[in-house]
Amino acid sequence: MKKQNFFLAHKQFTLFFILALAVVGVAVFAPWIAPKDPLEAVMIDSLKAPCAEYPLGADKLGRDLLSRVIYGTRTSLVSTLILVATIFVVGTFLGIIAGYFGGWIDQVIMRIADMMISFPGMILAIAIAGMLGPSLRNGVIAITAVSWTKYARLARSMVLKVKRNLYVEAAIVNGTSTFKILWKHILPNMLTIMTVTAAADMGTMMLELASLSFLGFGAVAPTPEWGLMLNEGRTYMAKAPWLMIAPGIAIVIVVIVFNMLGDSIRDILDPRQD
Amino acid sequence: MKNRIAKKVCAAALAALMTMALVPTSVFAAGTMTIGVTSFADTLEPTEQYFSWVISRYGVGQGLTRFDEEGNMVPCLATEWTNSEDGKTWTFTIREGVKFSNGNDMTPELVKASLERTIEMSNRVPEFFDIDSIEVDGQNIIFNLNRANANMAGCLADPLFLIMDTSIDNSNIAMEGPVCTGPYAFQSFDPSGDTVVVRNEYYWDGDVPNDSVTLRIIGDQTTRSMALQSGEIDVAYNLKTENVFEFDGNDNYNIQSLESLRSTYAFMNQNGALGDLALRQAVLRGLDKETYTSVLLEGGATPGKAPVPPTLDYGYDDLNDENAYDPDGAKQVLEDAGYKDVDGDGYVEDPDGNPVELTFVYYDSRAELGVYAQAAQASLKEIGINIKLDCVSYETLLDRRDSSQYDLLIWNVLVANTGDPENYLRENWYSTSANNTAGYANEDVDKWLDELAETIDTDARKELIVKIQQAIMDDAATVFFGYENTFLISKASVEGLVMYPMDYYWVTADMQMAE
Repeated sequence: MKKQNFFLAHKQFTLFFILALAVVGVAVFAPWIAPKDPLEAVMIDSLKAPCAEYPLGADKLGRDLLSRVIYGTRTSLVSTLILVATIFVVGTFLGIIAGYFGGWIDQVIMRIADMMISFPGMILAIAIAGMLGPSLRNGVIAITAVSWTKYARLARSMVLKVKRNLYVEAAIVNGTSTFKILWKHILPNMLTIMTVTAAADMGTMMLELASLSFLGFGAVAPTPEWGLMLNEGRTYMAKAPWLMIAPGIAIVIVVIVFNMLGDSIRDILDPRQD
Repeated sequence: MKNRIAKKVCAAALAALMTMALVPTSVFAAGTMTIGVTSFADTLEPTEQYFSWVISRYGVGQGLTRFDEEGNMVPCLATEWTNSEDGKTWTFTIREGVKFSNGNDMTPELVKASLERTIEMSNRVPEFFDIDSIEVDGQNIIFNLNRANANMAGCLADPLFLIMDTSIDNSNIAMEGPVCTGPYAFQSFDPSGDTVVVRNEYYWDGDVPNDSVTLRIIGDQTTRSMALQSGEIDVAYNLKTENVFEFDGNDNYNIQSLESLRSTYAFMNQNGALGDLALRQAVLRGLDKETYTSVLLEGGATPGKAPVPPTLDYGYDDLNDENAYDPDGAKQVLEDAGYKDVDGDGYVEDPDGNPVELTFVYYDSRAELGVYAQAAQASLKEIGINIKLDCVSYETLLDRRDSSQYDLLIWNVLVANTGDPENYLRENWYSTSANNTAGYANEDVDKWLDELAETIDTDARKELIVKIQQAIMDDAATVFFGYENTFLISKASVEGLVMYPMDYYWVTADMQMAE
């Protein structure tokens, strides 16, 4: 009964949570949902307009766009989840270390972080991905390299605040091990804000990955990936606009869903409103 | 009150003035044009790679001979030429009264110095001819060759042998460009932006209509097409069938097309996995070039099988392609050679059980190359060959070729760059040629190519070229994807724009905007 109340009380959250679940469902069940193999090229059907056989049309090589968009959910969602999880873990870890121990460790970590954010993020990511060579994995690495700083700085400031609390000092006086202090007393007190940030970042990160692929530094053909599909369709924009419309709308929908979900989570969890 | 009105009028006038100042000057100024091009030149040093092509295309560089609209060789900086009976001594008479764009006279001594500079600095020269010495005799230049060459005059029409002024300080040539004899001279150069050429006041062959011509590099085909539609550029080079559709039937634009003399082909690097003839045969038989050219490129190319396209009469129809499209045959070849899918991932492993992954390198400024590469990947997946695509810039592609880092490397070149395919065949399939980094070596082909260089009789040359082509095809050395048609689209107000089959000449003295 209490659970239902929670969902009823937060209608916006419930709506976008269901939509997000649907997106995840599409990704998980892609092989059952997609009508065709996303890699199967029937070249005589090149650039076919949307019809009964190809509900969203066919691309240059005669591959079914609907199936590619569906499989693209998989690619985009999995890589975005890995990306957000990595920057969340790496950034939080480094931030806690820097904030708790201070001194030269703090200086080293935060100066590296300063260095990373003194470049425009996307440009630096392009440079890193360019050096590593185009692939989806390298795209994730490149964006991780420029995005962890946000979490590190946030975690560090939280630690500095929590560290001054009496219960932490009491724990230190009691002789509690440093690891236990960090794990039991500090981490739980900052996890909420970190999670809210991560949830709100999902959409942005998905967009950045898609842009990297669009520019040719992320996914490589024939992977069904939305950014890459946009780029492939660009050449035929005037002749076969559906090549860009389908992946474009997919990106818009998924990014909006995750952004709104992140916002709703923040509204629910943000301690400032308590 | 009156004062306030005066102020308002002033402000309005000022605003109007500013608006006018903001309008691009090219709209008003007579005698300028902007051309949308693709370019591959990092520098203007003519002896590096194929950068001299750009200097020739931009209307700056000229050679002793040139090709006209029909592809016939005609005099340019030389007025006439003769060769000795053994084909080892060529005499060219240099045109009198020609000046470089800085006003210096083009003397036979300077022509000699310019050619010697090219011979010294470019590694591509040995595939054209083998020079013992160059002599000046009055207005004549005499070439003494070690190896007989029947087509010396055609070779000298290649932009590599453009004539530049070597008597001046050329230490900044990479950015400032050479001083040549064409209708235009370099004013500024940007390898990725606008290059401006201005009228050569000393041009020897009539008046030059434009004060300047801007060559705007727009590497992306769609963007180039849109730039022409928005009026930002007056002419767009290298557009394809999918762009023609946007301009067809519109009276504001002129569309010219030419069944070109360009061949799109992919080297197969025999220093790697493709050293195995069976794998090369399987690749060739797995590719449905007919569908690629007729469906994917919408007829923008003719399907290929041989080095020389059917537009040139070198026995295309008689050549026997034993590796024509045949996916079942391809699978059979793989199976017979011991290629099997051991780990069940859908791709074959080689007879020793190692996975086979072929890297297919292509470049981005010619859209059809990406179409071929992706189509090849899809087709070869059907027969179990795993292709990894690698899209790079043209400059990187050349580096990859020179360092032999590829399995398949596709590009698009002019077949008859010296008037006939001899130089093209020699550059790409002679065992010791600098361009041949795929490790292709066939003693017969080398022998016939040497023989071809000394043969003057047209029928005998044709026979040799047919034999060489058949040998290259039998060796399954190279994937010949197709022979593309090229399009040149311009505003209807552009006059005197001509497409040359040898596409060395883009900016010419005839080209101008209608009044």
